[in-house]
Amino acid sequence: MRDDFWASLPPLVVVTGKGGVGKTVVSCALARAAVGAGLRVLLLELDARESLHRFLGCSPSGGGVIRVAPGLAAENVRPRAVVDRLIGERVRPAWVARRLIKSVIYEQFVQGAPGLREVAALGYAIRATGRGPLAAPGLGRAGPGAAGEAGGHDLVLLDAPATGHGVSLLLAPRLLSEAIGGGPIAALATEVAAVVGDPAACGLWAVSTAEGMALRETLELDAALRGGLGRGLDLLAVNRLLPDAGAEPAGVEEWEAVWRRRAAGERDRLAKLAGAWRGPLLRLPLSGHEGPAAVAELAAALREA
Amino acid sequence: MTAQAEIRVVVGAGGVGKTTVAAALAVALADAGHRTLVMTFDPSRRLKDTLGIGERALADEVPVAHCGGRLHASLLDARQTFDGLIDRYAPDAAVRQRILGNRYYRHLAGSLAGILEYMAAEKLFEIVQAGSYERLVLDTPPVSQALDLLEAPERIVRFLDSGAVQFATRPWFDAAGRLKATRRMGRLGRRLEDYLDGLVGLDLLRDLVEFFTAFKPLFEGFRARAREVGSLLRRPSTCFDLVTTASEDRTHDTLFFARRLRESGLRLGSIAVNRLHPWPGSGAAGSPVLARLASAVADRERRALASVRELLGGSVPLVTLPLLAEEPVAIAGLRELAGRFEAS
Repeated sequence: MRDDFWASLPPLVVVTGKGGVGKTVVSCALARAAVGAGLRVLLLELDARESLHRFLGCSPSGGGVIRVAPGLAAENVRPRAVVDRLIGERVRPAWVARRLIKSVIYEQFVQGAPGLREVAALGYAIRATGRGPLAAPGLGRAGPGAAGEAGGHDLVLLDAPATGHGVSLLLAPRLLSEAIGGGPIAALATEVAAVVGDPAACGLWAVSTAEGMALRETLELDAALRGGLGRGLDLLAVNRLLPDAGAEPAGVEEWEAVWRRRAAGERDRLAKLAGAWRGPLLRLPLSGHEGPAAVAELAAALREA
Repeated sequence: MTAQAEIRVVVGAGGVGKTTVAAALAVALADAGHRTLVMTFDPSRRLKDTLGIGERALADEVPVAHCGGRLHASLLDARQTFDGLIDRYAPDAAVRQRILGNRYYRHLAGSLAGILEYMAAEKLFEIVQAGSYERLVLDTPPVSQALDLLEAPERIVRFLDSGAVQFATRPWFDAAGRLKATRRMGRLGRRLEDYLDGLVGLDLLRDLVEFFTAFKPLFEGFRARAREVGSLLRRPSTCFDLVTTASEDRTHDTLFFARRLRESGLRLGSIAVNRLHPWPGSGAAGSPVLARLASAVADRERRALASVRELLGGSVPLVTLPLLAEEPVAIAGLRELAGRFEAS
């Protein structure tokens, strides 16, 4: 991809997609490619079971910011800690906040109020971009972590949960702001919803494979976002594409015939996809590697795309 | 006999092909002569067509063709099951209406953590009670931590038993929706209420309290039910089939889940390693590009399989399933997959 592609990106990009399509490896490759294009990138992960480090070849985040390479930082976001920090910032005096965070009712509220953790996580990512109202001092002092250096990144990439949960993540701010009448949580949800609904402030990218079910789920995700947010996906990355090996010679072995039939199926489905998806499409190859080697291979493919 | 129904719960991370494996397993059980029901979440359109199930399967168990009348399939829907539970346990129509119409319930309760998983277990329980089947195959929602299904009933019980619910259902608000505690405090009370409103938004609290107050008469039935659902999953005739793929990134998760199942006293029936790419033979390939890639993938998958085998130590049957050239479009395709499942 040319440098002007990276230069024109919104400050936050959320990467989602069906489970098992290689969302995390693609997010890491995108981060590496963006760094290669001269951007300072923060890669955020939402899964409590950390996996970024296995793809980036660094140590686990443990909830803090990891410096992976010059221009590349990574962090595992703990939504619960973000909510606690938010309460700590907004509730005064401080001892009331401390008591509140330890109480049973608060515990149940944080566990039980659906959407709250999602809103907190997205709010955290938005704040890390250092832009927009959420980054303003109005939200109080920044806690430890990436938000503490708000403005230090050109691009924040959020590796979001898989489609079902990814839709919940992205629709949560709007639902929460509509479901609760007033107060600072509703106000926060409204602010987050405004950013997520604005393509200039937040990019929504999906990773898929060229399998029928994954492509269908991606198109459903796009439709669900259009319905719920009034905007759809900005980019679709199709991962694990098999190479086109050309015309099939006579008498190939069975294994090769299966690979070729799968490759042909992928080409068919991508050709049909052209009618349903008109946005940018990134094609990424099936990598023969795993972990950091796969990331390097995909990042190289991205630079040439 | 309801007590005899054997249950196979198919679990695993998203994208490993759980739903297809569940369908194949169900075909195998039906072919072996058992009256079988497969309950799935969001199958692909092809699989839906293959099983011949449409929207009707949301409400009913529909017969699957070409299976000697022994196989039925149904689609799981968490919201509908939740509504059904409220229908069953609400003491009267007024309570029922209050819950179903509550803003918190309508907007948010459906996405409450663990609800989807709990509702799957709940539906399973209903079917077992009805007693029409000898074998039940339950597909599970795609979760990164597939343990949610097992923990969901306990979590619901813990939540209902926690002081928070009792606390939340105390009469906090008067008929006008004002906080009782601050009403008697005059202007100071009003300021305190405004402070609280500014802090958390009293509307949310009002909705929550109203929801739990309306829900309270249902607690007993719900709690007893959640315990029964939990013990159903622990019966010796219930076993879990763990589906995974041969990738080093997944190995860790697979072993973690296998260990957790055993620690929770649950029976792990098999580990199915799905979608193994066909490994290249020794002969010359038509395409060197494909041959190189296929060899790299094969090496990777062999390593992943070997490490799963080594770490499991032969305590659980390991089943390998091939990547198919195309998704099954007919029962015959599922039967072929099932055959490999049974053979190994």
